[in-house]
Amino acid sequence: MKLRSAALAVSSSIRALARRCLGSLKARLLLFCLALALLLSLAAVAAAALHLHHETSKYFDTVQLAFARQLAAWDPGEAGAAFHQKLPDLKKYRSHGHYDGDALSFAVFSRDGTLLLSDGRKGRRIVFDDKGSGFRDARLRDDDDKWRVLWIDSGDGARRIAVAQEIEFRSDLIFGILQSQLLILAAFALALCAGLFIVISRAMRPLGALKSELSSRRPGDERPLEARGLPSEILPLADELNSFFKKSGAMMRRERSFVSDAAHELRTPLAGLVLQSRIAADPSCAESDRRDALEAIVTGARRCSNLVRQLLTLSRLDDLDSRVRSSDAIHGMSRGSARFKDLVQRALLESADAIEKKHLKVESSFKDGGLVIDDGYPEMAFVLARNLVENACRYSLPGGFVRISSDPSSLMVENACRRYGKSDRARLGERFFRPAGQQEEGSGLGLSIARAAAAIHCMNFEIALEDGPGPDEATFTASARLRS
Amino acid sequence: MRILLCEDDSLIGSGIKTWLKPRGFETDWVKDGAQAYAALPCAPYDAVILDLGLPSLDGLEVLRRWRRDGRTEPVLILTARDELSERVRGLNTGADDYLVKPFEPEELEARLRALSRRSSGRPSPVIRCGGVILDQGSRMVQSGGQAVPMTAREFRLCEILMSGAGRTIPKNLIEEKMGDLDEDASPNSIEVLIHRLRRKLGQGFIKTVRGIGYTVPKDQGA
Repeated sequence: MKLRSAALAVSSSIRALARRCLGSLKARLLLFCLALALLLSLAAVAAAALHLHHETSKYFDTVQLAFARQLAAWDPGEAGAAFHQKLPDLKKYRSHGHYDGDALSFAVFSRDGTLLLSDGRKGRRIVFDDKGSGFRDARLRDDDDKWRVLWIDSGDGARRIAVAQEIEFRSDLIFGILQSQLLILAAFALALCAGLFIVISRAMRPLGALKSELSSRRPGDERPLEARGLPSEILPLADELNSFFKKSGAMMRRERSFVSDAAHELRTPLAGLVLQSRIAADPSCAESDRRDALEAIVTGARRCSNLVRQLLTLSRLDDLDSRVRSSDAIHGMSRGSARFKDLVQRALLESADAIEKKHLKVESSFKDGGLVIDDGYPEMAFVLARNLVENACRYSLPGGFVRISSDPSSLMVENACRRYGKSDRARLGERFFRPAGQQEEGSGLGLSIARAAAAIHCMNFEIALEDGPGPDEATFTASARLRS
Repeated sequence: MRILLCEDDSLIGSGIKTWLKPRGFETDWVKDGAQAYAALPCAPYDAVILDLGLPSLDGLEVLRRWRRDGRTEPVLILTARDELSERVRGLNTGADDYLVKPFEPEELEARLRALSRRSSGRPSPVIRCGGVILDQGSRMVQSGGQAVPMTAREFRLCEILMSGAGRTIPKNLIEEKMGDLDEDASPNSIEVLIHRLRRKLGQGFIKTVRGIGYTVPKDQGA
């Protein structure tokens, strides 16, 4: 059990190390190059081994043939069978090559198998064979090693000559040559790795600089990444990152501005609430003032709550809009059919007090049943209708008109209002903007909310202000039209 | 102190006016930039509270025009914008102080008093005239070491006279400084108040300068 757990621990450590190593592009490249170099080297060595085997075999066979021919030309005469015992000792030449009989041995036999001449120990052990000429693999007497033996007859046919070479001697030679080749290749592979390491490290340096720049970057930093020196493979990534920084910076600026504006908008009613609550609790203030302060607190709280509601609606719409644009899933928002004729009627009911108070003349027309969105967000469609109607009723001149018209592709709300200066006209519909001289209290978000609600229903939203018949009269028009 | 309040938000405007009233401030409230610009030369205001987001004429533009016209009344800007650049812009345009919404009313009151003191060259909130001590901070008056109870209007009149100790304060100026748009500040009511103050602080404390106004003689002052 202990062994098994130890083995598991070791294997998981190796896996972790491998994961860590292979996580690095540099390590991957190096490992890949090293493995490739090794594979190629091995293949080269294998091919060289085959070729070497073939060539050395041919060479040694040639040597054996040449030697056999020389022996065939020899006439033993009277030297007799004891000639071989007089061979010299070659040990002193061991540093120059093989001195024993493994390299090449021979024996000369008479036709009846009598050994006439041999090289000594090994040659004497060649087993006589009187069948034909040629190379054959055989074993010597009292020897387990395989030998390659060449048998030929002398020119007069009186002698049989055998020249033998141990097969292992040939293999050792091939192995020796290959070993030296492998050593050279290993040295070459090491040098290659070192070179690759340097080249890859240099190539990766811009990536390291990029990483440091990215890690030290603060959120919202829109400065583009330094593209100078980046390899062409990384440049598109840097370009994409720069584009992302720009977009996220703009988004953060918008959000900051929204939060800042929202905070400022909330500060005014909050300041009012603080003041009025202090008055309500201050015994030095007159009783009637304290009662008025309590009423003002209720009004202020309602104003705050209305502003917060508008801010939340706008924030939800902004989120919805970005999801619709990026085709993300939208959860928690029911989808369905939105019939603007019904929605406008509902919005008019909500604005009934303002309509009655200002004696507004309300006209509505719905051509072919008016605008119907089959697959929309009914809740947000109502927000669109309510904000347009509420805006028209709130800013309409007393006794003025509110005209609502709709066809299957659009909704338009017009109202009579006072004239605005050129600079105010240009800013109408901006978030939190309230034109100078605006007496009606509003959050300055109504049109922005309507615009956002139209956008999530794929509608274009437009506002227009045209001079009216009176010297200080104008007609304000807000319209939402389905994109074709 | 008479204050010009320029604020378009009814919740804040009515709140400031109501809060300052029992504390000896007479507040004239205007809700529009153009009205604010026109109102300042109409009365001897001790300080101005100016909201920047005024309808019809932006608060900063109103301030710029006042300073261009040579108006030197101390101006306290009251706004929801608290960025450094906004504050610097306001102060560089000619404002004397800056208060960001929401604020505590005590702070507004204290800043208004400090502005008024600085503009009249008195660093201390305590004014001494002989045996009479008037503390603008605690709104207490002492005479001969004894606390003297006073109504808000009595305190205000006493404050006007003691602030100009040694000088004759014309009756019409007193009327204007005392006068709230909604309150009665007629010459008769001023005389009634002078009578009450003499009873509380001693007959010789306030002198009448016939046909002109009243003075707290300097030899009795600090």
